[in-house]
Amino acid sequence: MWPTFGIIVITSAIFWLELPKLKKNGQKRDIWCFSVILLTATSVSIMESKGMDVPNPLDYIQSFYKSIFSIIGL
Amino acid sequence: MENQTISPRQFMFIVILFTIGSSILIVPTPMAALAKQDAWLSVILSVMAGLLLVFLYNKIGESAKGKTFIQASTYAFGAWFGRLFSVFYLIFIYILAALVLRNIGDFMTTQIIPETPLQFTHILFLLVVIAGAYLGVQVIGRSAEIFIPWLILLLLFMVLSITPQISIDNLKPVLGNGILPVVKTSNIVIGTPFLEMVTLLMIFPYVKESKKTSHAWLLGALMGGGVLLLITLLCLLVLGPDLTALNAYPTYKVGEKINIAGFLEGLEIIIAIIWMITIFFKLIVLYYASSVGIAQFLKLKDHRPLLLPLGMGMVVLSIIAYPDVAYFETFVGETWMSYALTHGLILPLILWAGLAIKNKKSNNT
Repeated sequence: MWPTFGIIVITSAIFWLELPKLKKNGQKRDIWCFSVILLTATSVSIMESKGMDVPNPLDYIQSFYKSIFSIIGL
Repeated sequence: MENQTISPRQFMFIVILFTIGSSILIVPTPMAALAKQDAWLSVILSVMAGLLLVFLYNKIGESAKGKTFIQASTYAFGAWFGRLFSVFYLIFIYILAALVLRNIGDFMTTQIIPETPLQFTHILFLLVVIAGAYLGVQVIGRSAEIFIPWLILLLLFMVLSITPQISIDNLKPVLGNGILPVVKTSNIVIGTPFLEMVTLLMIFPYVKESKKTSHAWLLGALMGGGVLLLITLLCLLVLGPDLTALNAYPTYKVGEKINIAGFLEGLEIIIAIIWMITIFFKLIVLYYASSVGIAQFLKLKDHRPLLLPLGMGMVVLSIIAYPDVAYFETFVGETWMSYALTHGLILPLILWAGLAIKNKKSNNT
């Protein structure tokens, strides 16, 4: 409960910190990219704080190279 | 993106700090485990291989003509393939940054502040890094210039005060197991600082007087490699190969051994300061490179708004990246070398070829 609350507070703080500057530059694209990245980071953080299984990119890398090695026969 | 420049000298300092950072922490243990008392010979071998790599990166940086890696890949391969190319490169840098963050976090929690949760160490360390990346490459260069004398003084002090503990017998027999383990082990140091240097191609265009840049890069890599050699030698000379291989942080143990006439003791924190300075700079370069790279990839005007959201993601990634040290060791031992080789050698080679073809074409027309 508390970690999730904290993460949401941090997210909104970041949002209010950066949005005025982005609006001043007047780039809609920038605002979209920023929001999508922030939203992804927030949801991943909340998943992690709730103890859910967040997919680990290192697992994918490892299995990728393992399969490549088995193809070449190392 | 922004009109910030650094001088070749500052670039050299950044390269030195980048080479030492985090490798000083994690390299001696596996080296000593595999090559025993000859670990220092494989450091020499890998520094030579690393200089060849730096030579290649310099060539790429010159033929990119003032473009960063991301811009150069879209220039050489067009929008689609260039984008795909950049995605792999950016993921590599981002994961590497998360792993470096985890290295310092692991060290702090196991050795210095065991009660503090890992997340908070990471958040605090990353906040400073974000502040640095926010201010831009010029500030990074200047602060590197400020911290280099400290680093040299602390290293000198450590070397001088540990000299009484040195015993040359620990290095004997030289090449007792033949040359093969030495050659095999050299891939550790090639993988950990030198292949990661491909990141520096992101700040290469910001260096003014691009003619001197390649020289600075080579010199910086040589000096950083020299410090790595010195540290590995000290670990072997003071602790011996077996103790070095057993300790998670052998350099820290070396610091604990400092004892001048029973009066000057407990100086291991000096080593911790060296690590924090160097890892801070390595992380700041990686973080800056990844945020600027992502901003250029998405064609944004400014990379700064991305810094804080990316930091949130990085804290999570550094926590979930590996559940325990055993996972990390298998990852570094089995996968990291091939992963770094793909992104540090094969990708740059393809880019180099693409740039050469593109440059030739644009010269003809």
